[in-house]
Amino acid sequence: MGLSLLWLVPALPLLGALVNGIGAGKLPRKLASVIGVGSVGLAFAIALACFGDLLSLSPEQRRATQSLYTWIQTGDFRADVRLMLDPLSAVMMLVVTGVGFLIHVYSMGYMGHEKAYGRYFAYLNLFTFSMLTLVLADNFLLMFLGWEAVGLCSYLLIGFWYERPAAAEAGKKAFVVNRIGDWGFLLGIFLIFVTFGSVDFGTVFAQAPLRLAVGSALASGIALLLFLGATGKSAQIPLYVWLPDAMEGPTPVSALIHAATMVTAGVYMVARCHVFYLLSPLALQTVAVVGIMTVLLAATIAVTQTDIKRVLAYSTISQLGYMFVGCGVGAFTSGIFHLMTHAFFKALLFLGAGSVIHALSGEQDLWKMGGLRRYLPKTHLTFLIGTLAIAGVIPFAGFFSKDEILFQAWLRGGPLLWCAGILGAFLTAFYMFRLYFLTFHGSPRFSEEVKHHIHESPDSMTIPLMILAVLSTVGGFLQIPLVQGGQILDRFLEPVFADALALVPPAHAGHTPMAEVWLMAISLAVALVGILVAYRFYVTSPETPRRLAERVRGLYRLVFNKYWVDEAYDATVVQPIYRGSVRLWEDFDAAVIDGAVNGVGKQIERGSALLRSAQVGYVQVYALVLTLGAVVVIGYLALR
Amino acid sequence: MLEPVLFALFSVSAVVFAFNVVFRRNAVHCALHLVGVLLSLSGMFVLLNAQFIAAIQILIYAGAIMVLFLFVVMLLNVKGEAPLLTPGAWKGFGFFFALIVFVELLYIVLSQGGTEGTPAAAVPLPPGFGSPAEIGRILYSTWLFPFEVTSILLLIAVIGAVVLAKRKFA
Amino acid sequence: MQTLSVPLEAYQLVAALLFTIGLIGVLVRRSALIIFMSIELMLNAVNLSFVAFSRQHGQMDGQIFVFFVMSVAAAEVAVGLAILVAIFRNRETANVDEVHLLKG
Repeated sequence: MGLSLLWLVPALPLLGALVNGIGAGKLPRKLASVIGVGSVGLAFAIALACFGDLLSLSPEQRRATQSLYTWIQTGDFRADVRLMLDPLSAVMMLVVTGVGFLIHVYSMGYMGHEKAYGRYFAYLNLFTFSMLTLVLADNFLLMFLGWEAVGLCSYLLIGFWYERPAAAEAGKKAFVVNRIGDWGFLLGIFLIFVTFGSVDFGTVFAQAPLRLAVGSALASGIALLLFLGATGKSAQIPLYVWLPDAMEGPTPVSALIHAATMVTAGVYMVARCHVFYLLSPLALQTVAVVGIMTVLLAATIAVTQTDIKRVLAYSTISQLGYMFVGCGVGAFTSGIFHLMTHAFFKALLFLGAGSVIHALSGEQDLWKMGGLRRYLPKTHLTFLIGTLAIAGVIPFAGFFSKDEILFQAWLRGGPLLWCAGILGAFLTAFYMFRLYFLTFHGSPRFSEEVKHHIHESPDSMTIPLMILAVLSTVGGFLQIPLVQGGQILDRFLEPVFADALALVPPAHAGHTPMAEVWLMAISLAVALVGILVAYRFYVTSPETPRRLAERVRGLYRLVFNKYWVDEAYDATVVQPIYRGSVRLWEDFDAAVIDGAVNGVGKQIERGSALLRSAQVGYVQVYALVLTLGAVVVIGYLALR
Repeated sequence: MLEPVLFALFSVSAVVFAFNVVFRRNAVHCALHLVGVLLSLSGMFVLLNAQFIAAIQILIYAGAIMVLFLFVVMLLNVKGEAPLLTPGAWKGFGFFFALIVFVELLYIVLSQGGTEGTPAAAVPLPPGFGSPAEIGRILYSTWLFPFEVTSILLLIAVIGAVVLAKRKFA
Repeated sequence: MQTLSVPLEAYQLVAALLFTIGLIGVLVRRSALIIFMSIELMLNAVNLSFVAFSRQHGQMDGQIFVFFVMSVAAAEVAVGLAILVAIFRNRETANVDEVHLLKG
């Protein structure tokens, strides 16, 4: 029953988006929320039913498709609107609808006072639809449609408060930076079509190992172009710059798009196209290197940021880096596992941050918070769980997923990669607890007036927090290391990756249970050290960080200013294009194009003025000319 | 022998009346002289065996159309135009072109007269030529369709005239 | 009256003369009313020509044509005079050289 209803999963949010979009501003708020939240809730229920059906099949047969209609057919080219449910897309579908549903519920409370309530839910639903199209697509073109639509929704939602110039700018930036990635993705699709004559996942992935040799230039080209798309969407070096600015959007949007779902599209895409990456060691290595560099870059920046949402944004970039590290060493399951747990705890952290901001009447500066645990007990507890999860403390979800990635990095990527990962883990624990301590501990640093307004958030906001807190706690148990039969997700996703992983011999060297235990212990210890350092810096002796910053002043300024990456991009890319465009506009468009158009117009006007003088308006002059004509005609007839 | 005399009489009067139509200052006089032209022509039509046409020339032209003209002249009560002719450069051109047209017509009439060949009297006239009965027979057989079209044209003209005369142009 | 003692050319000459006089009236007079009368004059000149040719060829068609010309003239006069009245009502003039709103 469930699988035949698969099309409803994306269709319902689309319907909600249409109803809320068309009726924006006219529907009563209650109805808008019922439609907005209900459509996603129903989609989640159907997704669960589909998932149940999928589980009832034997592992080899867990791949269901549903053709809706033929989208494009021209010559040899054919693209259907066909949905495909396999274990990988099932995980994504559940994350998108499940976490998405909780965020929708949360939005009812958070956006309760918003004027453009209907518009907000229309965008949110449209986003859910796009993301579901992306993950459920059965060919590259449909995936690209979802991919682009996700980018569009991101633009719309970041710029939701478009009256604020910063928000409008941020939306534009996100869109343009994403376009660069999309360009790579599109080129990748073209290359795939040229090579295989099809864009169907089934055909392409089945043909790829037969047509492309391991390490061939074509495989690397496809894989790297696709990865460029992934860096745009998933905010990796060099295209990560849009994500921190995206925090201009409403906080639930940050949670939904810029933490839990949209940014994972790149990871999903790399996992989906794992065949190409496994065929190209170069691309695989690139993914891992870019991933680990992003981890460190973003983590260091996060240490110095003072805006609560920006810290979380950089932590998102950093965690996405981990996912790519996982994919980059060929452990796609680990990447997807971290994607899932990250969706839980990052959504939790963002929503918790939203609750804090809500309570503090819109304050986002960490230095104007503090001591909030007394005022916001529910938020505090759930936020603590989220922080522990992301820091990688056993038994919370982040520990299992991050540790698995680190273990795989050790196993297949080598000690250097692992060391960098451990450093990232330390930084993660540090900056997250810095955030936590600054927000919830110490003495309040906000004004009396703000204090007066502090209130715990309504149930519609705290209940999603609690559900996410539970998920962040138990989510990791899907992959319990060392225990026989503990790797539930591994086995579930195995059919997707098995055939391709057979291509490359897995590196089993050094895989001993003892090593795994040791590595686990080290990463746990590192996380705890990070927490302790944060505690010492921000609770017991708050003077330390300032002194430290003084001592390494140059380094601090470098990191605090985000390595001047934005400025560098501005100087090397944005400004030249801008200046070139201005030149084109002033010199070419205004002078040549406009000149030609206006010149033609002016000449015609001049000619018309000449002809117009014949129209004297006196009827007798016309009669005279008529007579002249008669004279000529009669003369011709007479003298013929 | 009567015919040339009558022709001379009618043609001279027609031309003289016509001159008066064009060069008289008073519109009422002009209209009355036009009636004179019409009557002279009617006489010529009789000479040319077109009795029916001659009759309706007097009935319709002189009787109906010219009365309409006179009505309008009196309705508008236009005071005699100060300068008779339109001022401006094209007035001279008007005379000049009209003269050329006349010369051309004259040339055609005189040069082609010979090629017509048959003297006017050579063709024996059919019985009943120009009589109302014969006109009616041809009009309602050969020319039936144009005749009906003409009736529609007149209907349109009536409607147009009523609309134009009644509407207030703001 | 079977014979025609006056040649056709004479009739044509008179018709040409009347036509020219009418043309002069159309081209040089100011009053729209007189211009109308001049047009009637030209039409009548043509009518004379038609009737003369009709007699010459012994064909009745020329006379039928005169009949139609008269109908058209009647229609033209009806509409033309209505326009003239409308113009006069608005502009207080019947002079064609004072009506030139169509000037380009």
